[in-house]
Amino acid sequence: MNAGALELVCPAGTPAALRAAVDAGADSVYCGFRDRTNARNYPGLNFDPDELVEGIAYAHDRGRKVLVAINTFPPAGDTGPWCLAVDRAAEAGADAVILADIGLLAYATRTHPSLRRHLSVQASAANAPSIRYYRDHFGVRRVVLPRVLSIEEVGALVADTGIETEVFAFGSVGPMSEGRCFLSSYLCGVSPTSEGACAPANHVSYVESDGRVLSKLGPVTLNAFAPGEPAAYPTPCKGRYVTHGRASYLFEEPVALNALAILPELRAAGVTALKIEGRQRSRAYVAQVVGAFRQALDALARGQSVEPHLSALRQEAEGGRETFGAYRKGWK
Amino acid sequence: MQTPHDLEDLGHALPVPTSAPPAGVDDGGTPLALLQFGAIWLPRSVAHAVATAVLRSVERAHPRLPRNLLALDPAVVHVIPNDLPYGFALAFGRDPARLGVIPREAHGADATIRASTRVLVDLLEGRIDSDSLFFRRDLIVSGNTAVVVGLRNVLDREPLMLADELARVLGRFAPATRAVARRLNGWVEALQERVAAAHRVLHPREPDASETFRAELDRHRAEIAALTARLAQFEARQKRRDDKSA
Repeated sequence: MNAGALELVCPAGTPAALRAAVDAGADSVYCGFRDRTNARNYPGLNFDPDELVEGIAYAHDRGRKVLVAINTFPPAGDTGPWCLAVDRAAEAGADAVILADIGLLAYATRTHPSLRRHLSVQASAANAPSIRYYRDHFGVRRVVLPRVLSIEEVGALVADTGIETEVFAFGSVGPMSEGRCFLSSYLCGVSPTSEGACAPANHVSYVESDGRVLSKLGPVTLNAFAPGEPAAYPTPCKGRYVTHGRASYLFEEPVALNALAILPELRAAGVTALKIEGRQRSRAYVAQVVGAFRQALDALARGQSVEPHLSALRQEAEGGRETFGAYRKGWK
Repeated sequence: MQTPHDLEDLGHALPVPTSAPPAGVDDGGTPLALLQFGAIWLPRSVAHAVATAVLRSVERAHPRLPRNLLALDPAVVHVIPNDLPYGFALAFGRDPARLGVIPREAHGADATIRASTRVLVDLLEGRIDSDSLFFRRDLIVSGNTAVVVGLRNVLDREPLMLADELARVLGRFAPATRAVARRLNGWVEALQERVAAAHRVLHPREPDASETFRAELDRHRAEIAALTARLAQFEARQKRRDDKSA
């Protein structure tokens, strides 16, 4: 990777997706173990220790890195699986671990001091004192910034904290309370923060009714889609709720973040790395999105416009719509 | 919930409807047409035998697949191609996986997946993303979503290519079958082209309202994006002025 180039950090929910990401041009791939120690704990997804070793070998042979997300919060009296996950990532030769919990950060700092530590978006560190605290106490080398900041604010944080920043460039967007969202707990008892799964699939159902498809989480109907209407993930934050007799998206609309058009601005703000969201998605998605961003970044590095690549990903977007999210927010 | 042992009773077996891409085996096209034609005529016993043989061949070629299927909660998934007169039942979890052929209206599945044959094959072979299909409503899932998500994730771990799997099952007959498939595909494509040409003559194309609407929508989106950007710049300038004056 050229000095000053944006590092492309890509998701892998399976070994096949890891290979797809590397082959499509990822600089780094992030993944997690097959348990609740990471925020994408879905059936059939993630890596066992042997698969992680093989995946790291595949990436390292091609000069790429593997980052291991251990970014949920251990409950009281049950920190064992999280510490074990850190140990296994270190033994496998991971290039970094992505952590959120302070206790786990302390464990990793003490037990594996040479293992690079990144601060997960789940830690929700969005201001300079908070980031400096993690940097100074746990030797955190990179912070994954929550999706609540404008480009100007990102630039200010880069200048204030002096550590690497990673920002989301593509994928699903939530109601902007990362690491603090328990919405799905109210409907089905688990949340991404506690069990690594938002709106877990075993609580989701789809029902045909009067020509519409109803998406339900537990007993609650979250949305109703007319024939041909783009659908959304069945998460509580993207429910269409009836207030004053009218159904509307109260928290978040079904729309995907796509920062392709503002890559030059993110680079100018001093961002180190771009994160593609979507470990829960298929290797086809990974190949498509990573390939599009690789081409755009290469064009940027050659001093060319990213314009020709802008429409490449609309089909992958939730709800078929894209947004710059908070990067260009006109609100506070 | 059905167990894998109930699969024999899932209904009248029909021929195995599947298609295969060209990669890895055949540069001349997929054997989709061959399989669809064959599907009409194959007797039930042969269809079951082929389905089982393909599944076992896949498991031998991808040894982690049966292990990962066993690790899932036991379930039966019905896969119903929109463009075929029958579907499949796949049972997995706890016991070795089993694949059967079922009527489209068969009951008893924990979950059902509906899409076109082409979409289903592309999904299996990792060429398209199921979430994107879901957003566009090209893939309909009903029943226990966790079962489908688990199965999708397990299958997506493997580089499956139906043409390769069928070639393995067919053994020394594979080259001859590929030749027939190529010929059949050519005939079907030519026929489809003729039908399409005739349709164009009989029904001259009028401007598509949905395309016009989509273009209009795209223009509005671009305008909104530009306005949002200008507004953000304006606000940033205003903030700097306010900070200075403060």
